[in-house]
Amino acid sequence: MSTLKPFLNEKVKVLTADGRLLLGVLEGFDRTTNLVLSSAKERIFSIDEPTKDISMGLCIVRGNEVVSISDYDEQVEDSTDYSKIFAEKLKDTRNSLID
Amino acid sequence: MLFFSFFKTLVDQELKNDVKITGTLRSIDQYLNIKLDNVQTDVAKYPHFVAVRSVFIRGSTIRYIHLNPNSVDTNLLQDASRREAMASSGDKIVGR
Repeated sequence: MSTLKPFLNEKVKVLTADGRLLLGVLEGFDRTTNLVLSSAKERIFSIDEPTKDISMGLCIVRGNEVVSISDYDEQVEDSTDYSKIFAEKLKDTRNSLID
Repeated sequence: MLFFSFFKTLVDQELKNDVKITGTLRSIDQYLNIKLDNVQTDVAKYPHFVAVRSVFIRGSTIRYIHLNPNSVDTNLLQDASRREAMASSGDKIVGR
């Protein structure tokens, strides 16, 4: 069984179906990968503006919106200067074979 | 699970959002949810994955899993599939 247990109470990055990136502490999950994130923030990447974070507090992410959940190396993360990173928005996961 | 025991190696994934992720298969479940270790992605293109160590991917978002044909022994796989089918059904499978 591929469980999310090792990620519990860890800082994680969550990718959603519409291409957004959420960061937060994983407080809980269930079988359908519904997630509870605390001290969550959304990180917005843009090709012409520096990366910015928007604070969202405690939130639930519905399972069907989740693409991936990853833990990360905090040292590497903290030493990354996101104000100098420009990137295209990720595509969503819906019907992207059509376009 | 046969799939897991057989593909415990390096796999390449393509997600429905066109992101490609390579890593070592750690575990997999009945939804095809997958956990990868030693994750490698094009971080310059996708800074979303900066500093990422291991990743859990929801099965529903996976488009392809690429396997290196050289690492797949079809005879061994055939045998293993038979054995698993036999074990799960309890019936005797008549060989070729």
